[in-house]
Amino acid sequence: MTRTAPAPDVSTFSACPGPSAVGRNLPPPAGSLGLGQFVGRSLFPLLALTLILGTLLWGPWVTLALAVASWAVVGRIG
Amino acid sequence: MADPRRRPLLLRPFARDEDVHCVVYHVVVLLACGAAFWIWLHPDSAGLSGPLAKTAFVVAAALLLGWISGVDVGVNFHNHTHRRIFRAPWLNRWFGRLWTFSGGWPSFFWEHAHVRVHHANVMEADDWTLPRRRPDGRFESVWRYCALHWPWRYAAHLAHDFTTGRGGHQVGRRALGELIVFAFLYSIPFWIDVPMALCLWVLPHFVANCVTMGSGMYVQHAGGAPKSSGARYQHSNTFLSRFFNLTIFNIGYHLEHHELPGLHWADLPALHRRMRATYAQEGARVVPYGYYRAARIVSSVLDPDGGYRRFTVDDQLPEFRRDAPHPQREPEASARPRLTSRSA
Repeated sequence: MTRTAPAPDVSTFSACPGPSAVGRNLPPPAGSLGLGQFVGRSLFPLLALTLILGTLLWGPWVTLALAVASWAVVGRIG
Repeated sequence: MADPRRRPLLLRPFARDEDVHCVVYHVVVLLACGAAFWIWLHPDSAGLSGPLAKTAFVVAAALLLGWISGVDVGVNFHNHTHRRIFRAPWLNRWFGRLWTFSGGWPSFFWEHAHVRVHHANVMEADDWTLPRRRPDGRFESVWRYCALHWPWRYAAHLAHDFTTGRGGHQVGRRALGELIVFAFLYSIPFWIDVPMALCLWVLPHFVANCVTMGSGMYVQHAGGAPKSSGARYQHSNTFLSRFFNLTIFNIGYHLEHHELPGLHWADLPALHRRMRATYAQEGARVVPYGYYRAARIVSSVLDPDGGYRRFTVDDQLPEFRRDAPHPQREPEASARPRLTSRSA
């Protein structure tokens, strides 16, 4: 069975990887290097680093509890 | 593209400004690994006084490092395989090697599996990266897939591909060279302390591959159908959670990604907005949450079939369901049989 889906209108997007096509058709999203996005995109590794280093302060059992809680929370909201 | 000479010096090596985030992510992953190693080597400073306390730390570190290193390879390096983040080829090649060894992979191997096998044959019989199908067309259990796929199936398929030339001329020779580079990098923690390497290096990579990447691969395509079935936009699932997409490089726009793999990850939301009406008309597969919640649903222990059905059928957004009323839909379109794996 063949469907007759309309061709996607992607004429203004670059479909080819490589430096020659980089960003040529779209302006970068506003605030692409803003602090919020910077922290947001690295949120989980920063969280992991904080919890691991936090072991020096609160010990391994609290780190384990926070790690399990992180998995549980993100499993619900993410 | 902006004139590279007018960009800040630190950004000039990058193909796009947003790609700085990819490097930051990977550097923080390496720092987290280093912090865990340091604590292991200085147990008194963190109260790792006995085997129980040490076990608690290892389990916590395995969960945290496995989570972020799985995303680091399966999402972050993944974007690099489709669209290099640096302007210089040598930098792309070497940063790639340094990117994946902390996820338990030679970069060339992962790129082969993802680009030449998965993207070129998504949902088709030749796509050995995805879960196997049951007789009724559904994916095998997510538990079975996660337990059996990495490293066992991967190793067998990669060995077959590299010895039979799938992947191009002299692919086996290149794979051997990349394996040697990987073996050198991967062995570094073992030179320092073998038990530490097993607990804080190998174990997190098991979590990264079997749990993080395995469940991610599963939910990206569960319930879908290949293009060869005639279903144009049902090969992949799209996940619209804003929180999820912000924190994971927009990988939730997975249908969009497979339609245009070369599109930069920062542009995927724009492509979704542009294609949304078409997707709604064609019955694309879209859910309102992210991979994490999807993985929790399909891995239901008490009701595995119910979890699979909830994710692949019940939770699909009504706007995109082919059986939902739609003003632009041709009358005969709604009479067509549903072309998902549920009816395949």
